[in-house]
Amino acid sequence: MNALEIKNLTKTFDGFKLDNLNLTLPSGCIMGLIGENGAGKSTTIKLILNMLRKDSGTITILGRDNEDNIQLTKEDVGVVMDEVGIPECMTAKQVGNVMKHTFCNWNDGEYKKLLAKLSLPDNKRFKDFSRGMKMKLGIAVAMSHGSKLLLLDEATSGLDPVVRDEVVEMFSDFTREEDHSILISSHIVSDLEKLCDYIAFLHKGKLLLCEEKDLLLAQYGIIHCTAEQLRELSPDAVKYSKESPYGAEAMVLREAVPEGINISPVSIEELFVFMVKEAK
Amino acid sequence: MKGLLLKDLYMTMKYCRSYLLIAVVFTAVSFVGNDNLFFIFYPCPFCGMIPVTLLGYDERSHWQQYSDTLPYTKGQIVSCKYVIGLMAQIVMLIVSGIAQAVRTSVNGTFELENYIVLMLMILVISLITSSVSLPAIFKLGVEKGRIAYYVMVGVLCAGGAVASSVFGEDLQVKFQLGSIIPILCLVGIVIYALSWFMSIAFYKKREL
Repeated sequence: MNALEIKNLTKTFDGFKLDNLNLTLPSGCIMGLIGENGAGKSTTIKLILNMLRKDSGTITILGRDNEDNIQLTKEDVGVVMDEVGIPECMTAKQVGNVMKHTFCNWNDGEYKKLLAKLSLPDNKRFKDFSRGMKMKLGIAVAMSHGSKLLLLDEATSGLDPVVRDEVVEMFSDFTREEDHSILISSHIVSDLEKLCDYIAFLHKGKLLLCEEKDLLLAQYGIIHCTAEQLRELSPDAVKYSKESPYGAEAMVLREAVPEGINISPVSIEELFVFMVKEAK
Repeated sequence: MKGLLLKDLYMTMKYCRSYLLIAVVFTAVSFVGNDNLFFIFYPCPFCGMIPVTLLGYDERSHWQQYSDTLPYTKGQIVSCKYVIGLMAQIVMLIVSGIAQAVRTSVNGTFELENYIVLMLMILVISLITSSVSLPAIFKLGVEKGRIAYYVMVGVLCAGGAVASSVFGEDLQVKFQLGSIIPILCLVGIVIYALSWFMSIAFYKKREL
């Protein structure tokens, strides 16, 4: 079963259109949603949760249509938004008490374990937390009610590198259960590269690609050559290129490049930057 | 909805202590003072504004978006504020009621019928006040909703003043207060229920 299926999703605002989005997240996998500010990542997550009304398309979460008793579906979905949204006067302990009466499957023991693991104090008010601590509390809540799907909107931003690594490890552990899945959006592409099985690129409301990460890294590469050598390559091989007085750099499809040309590995971040520039 | 009520209770205890203080001061003044109705009337509608304060803090902390990710319906989110408002008004009415009962008993002016009429009047005015403010806030957000509320109150006051100057004496129909109180109560309850219903409808349409 797929954890998430989005088909032909469209939503229009003044000056922005999420245009005919199609995404499929298989169960047990992690998908990274990469895009610049305003690309439509948060809009996508809000549409999945039915927080925004879609213009057209269908969304299926854990096998259920998102317009069909979404409250029941939300029992199985853990969400961390860019702004965590917990009232500033509340302590982690009080948050636990509220969530105990919110989720049918709330696991208080798991919550306390996560608070300890993430070094979050029980009795400090949320307003006195650093941005990283606020995110960690949001993550602890999202992972304490037996969620099968995590929707994380910039959940690793604001965390220091050590904590980010710990959190990424926690997400990785979460998907060891084969019915657990994650959709995560982030600007920090290195986190997604480390974590994700699937990568989706969004640019100005359009999906540039959605592919298995390993396949992407195997398909694409970068070559550094002279402008003349670049022009000798088949146009099908070159996805994006830039020339300077010192030579040329191009992102290429490995299989379309003749043997003998040295191809360097491409990172997901480079791939994204190249593709956005190509789209422009 | 228990979780939502508990969260609002935590917030009320933290952010609405000033309401308690003002309510206590006004009740005390009404207790020791003469028959100044303002001090008797004010605390109850004042406590009816607690949901507005809570909504302001909710908006600031982005709780409204977060609560939309939790397994609650928009109807439950709105209803929680109406229940909290109703609880606050009833508690304040009981406190004011006890204070007035004791005061008039000590003065020897206690009359059961007048007392019941006064308490019901306070409740009706209080219910109508919060009924007017909440739908605007659920439709437009706290800042714009507050402005809409002030405009509405202004229009009503101006309308009253104009009607009074145009029709003068004709408006002062000689009703026995006791006889119109049941009607006023019914009107208060209907307006509160209508406001509740409208707020749910507005909030369902609102995209956060």
